[in-house]
Amino acid sequence: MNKIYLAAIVTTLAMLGFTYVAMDIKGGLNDDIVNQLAILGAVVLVIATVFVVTKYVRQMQTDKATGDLTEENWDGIGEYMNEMPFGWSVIFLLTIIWGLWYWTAGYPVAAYSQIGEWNEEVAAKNASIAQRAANLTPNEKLHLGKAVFNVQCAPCHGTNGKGQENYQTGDLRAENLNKRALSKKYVEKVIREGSNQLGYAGGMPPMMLQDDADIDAVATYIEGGMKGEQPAQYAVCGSCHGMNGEGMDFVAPSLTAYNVDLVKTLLTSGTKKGEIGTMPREAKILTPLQIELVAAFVANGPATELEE
Amino acid sequence: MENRPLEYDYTVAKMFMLTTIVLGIVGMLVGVILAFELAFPSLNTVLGSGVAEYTNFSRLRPLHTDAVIFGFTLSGVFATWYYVGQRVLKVSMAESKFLMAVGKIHFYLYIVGVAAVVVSLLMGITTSKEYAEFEWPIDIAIVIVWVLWGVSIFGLIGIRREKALYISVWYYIATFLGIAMLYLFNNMEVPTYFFADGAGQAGIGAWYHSVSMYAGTNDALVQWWYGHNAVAFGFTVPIVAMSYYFLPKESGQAIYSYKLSLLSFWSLMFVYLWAGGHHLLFSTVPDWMQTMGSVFSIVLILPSWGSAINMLLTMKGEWKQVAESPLIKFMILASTFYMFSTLEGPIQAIKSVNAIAHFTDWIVGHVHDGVLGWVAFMIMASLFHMAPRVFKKEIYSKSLMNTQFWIQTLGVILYFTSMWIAGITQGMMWRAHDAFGNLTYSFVDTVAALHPYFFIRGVGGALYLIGFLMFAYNIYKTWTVGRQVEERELTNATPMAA
Repeated sequence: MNKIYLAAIVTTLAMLGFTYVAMDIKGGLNDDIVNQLAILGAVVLVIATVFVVTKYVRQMQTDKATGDLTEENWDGIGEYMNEMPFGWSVIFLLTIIWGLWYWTAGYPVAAYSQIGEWNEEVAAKNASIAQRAANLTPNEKLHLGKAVFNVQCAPCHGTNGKGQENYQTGDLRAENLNKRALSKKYVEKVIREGSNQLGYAGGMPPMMLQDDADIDAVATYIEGGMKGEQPAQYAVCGSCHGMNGEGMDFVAPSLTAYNVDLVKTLLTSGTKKGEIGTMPREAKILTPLQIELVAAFVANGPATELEE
Repeated sequence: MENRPLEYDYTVAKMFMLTTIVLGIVGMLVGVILAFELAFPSLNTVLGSGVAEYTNFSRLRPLHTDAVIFGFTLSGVFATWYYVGQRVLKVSMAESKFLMAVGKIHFYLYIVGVAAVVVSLLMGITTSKEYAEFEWPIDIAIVIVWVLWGVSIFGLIGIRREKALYISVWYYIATFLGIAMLYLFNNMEVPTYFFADGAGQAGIGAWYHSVSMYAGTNDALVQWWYGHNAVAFGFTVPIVAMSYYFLPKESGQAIYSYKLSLLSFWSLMFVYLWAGGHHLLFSTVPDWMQTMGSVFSIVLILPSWGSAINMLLTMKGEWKQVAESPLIKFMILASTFYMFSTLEGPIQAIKSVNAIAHFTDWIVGHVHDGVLGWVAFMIMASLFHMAPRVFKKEIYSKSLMNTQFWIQTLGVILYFTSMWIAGITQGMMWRAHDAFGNLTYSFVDTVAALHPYFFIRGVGGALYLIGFLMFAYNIYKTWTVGRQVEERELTNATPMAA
């Protein structure tokens, strides 16, 4: 076979092959019109270039230069008075006509708004999601929660939710969400100074306990996972946090676990400060449904294997 | 005088040939380092944390882009102008002491500018506008360099013997005017030390520091009008000028169509300037401007292809020359890469395709099939053609040139195919989401998936650099040990030793 045709075929097949590989690695077409158009563009690009280049390079083998030369030449270089290639001229004219049409009539500038299109797409997507959300099994909820978690939470808390430590001090920079391990130091600080970072209405007032020995006893008890004999002064805490530390929905968080109520409250109204910075107000990004799902996932323990 | 061939004076051309090669090596070497830093991030601090400031990606990246654009490419443009200009205007630089002085000052001031750019970028002094990183004192120096080049162009035209201007001269003039306009408008900046803010406070920041005169979306629009057309008037227009001279000259063929060269020229000039908006699709730029950028990008395909087709048709019936001369191979492959990248760009500028292509490595691949396959191939071919004429020596080695051609072609192919795959993969991963609209992948997932392609890209770049070093060696040996040649051997095909 002629070398030029062979090169053309090899190039085309290779480029289409590479395109196919790229589609196959990860992501994929995903039934997304943008992905499909991009692949179509890539295919057109390869075929059109190879076709046209082959046509003209082949002429180097088969054709002969002819025509009348212009009167002048420059440093020995002449120019033929040949007409422009017909196909080129026609396509050029067509793109000009298309451009004028597209910009004025086909896709009139006043009739299109980028933000409008965005709003429409989001509204349509939300509607379809709400429809699907109506009948989810608990396991499906966990999987969907994990997807939200991976994008919004994992960058700081890790994909397994185990948080991250400051490699120098060993302090937590982002909490381990699999259990609520409150350090003694932290509990003492909260009892003395109060806290409303998690976003519960009113928050916790400072100095609920006054006596240093009482504070120390309660803090030790909570750090130890609320095991053993309960200090009498814990009753003050228990009135809101529950005698077992399980928390009270809408009133006070659990002291032992990141349960659904804690996560939802934090994501909607909390302003949790950590060593890295203030945790983002996820409610601005997430829909109520997404908050519901991610709270269920966290409460289940992010490190827990999910059923398929 | 009129009866014997003119003695052209290539002093200034030679000077710029030198900087083309030196700055080409610097720019491409930094590029290869950057490619491997992306594949293996620990290389960012490989020389220790003490100098990490100077070896990390972000500090070196503008050095790479500016060295290859304003160093390698512009030097190539100047070198070819000081060669081609004399020949197609039929006038020697030696005939005008004034133009010779201007040419030399042009070169030395350019060197000062290059030194200032390298030092300031390495120190991290930057306006942080892409391809316009230089602070205001350097901008002023560059404007002076540019004006001197303009004096040289129009001065030479003023004393020409050839009545009509050859098409290449039109393209050089367009390069001069285009960059002058773009550079001035995009680099309008306010030195904060010297000028007061609204509250009457001056003396803010270092003396060389400045802020852009434009703000927000306007700044972005001016910046990408500049950025896109720097490609037009730096990477396209002057390179077309070279191909219109060197291909017919080397092959001894007449240009296929005078009409096609004229129409391509004027339509390229008109259409290119409107297409910059495609860099800002899906941004705060008004919708109508985004649409305009896309539409003009599509219309731009044909003017670009016109010049390339004119080149290919000029070689009609000359397959033997293509097969035998590596120099002509460089130019023919350059024309085809030009066609490929000038169709790729418009396709990526279609909004729906841009939604996936934007910010991915597909764009990086697109830029490099243009600059490696088209710009650098054409510049090297031009210098290969010029070397025997300015040194009066035969090219040192044809087989070395042949090897270089194939090594660099392989390098370009590895580069753009790896980025093709990486870019499409990356775009699709970014867009992938579940039925509830949650993103499937986090950013680091894409980085892990792309690692092999980043490595292949580095290998491609390294091959290209090796080829460029072979080119430098070949030119150096031509200059030092090449066989002396007579004027009559230099009419068309470049003399080469085996």
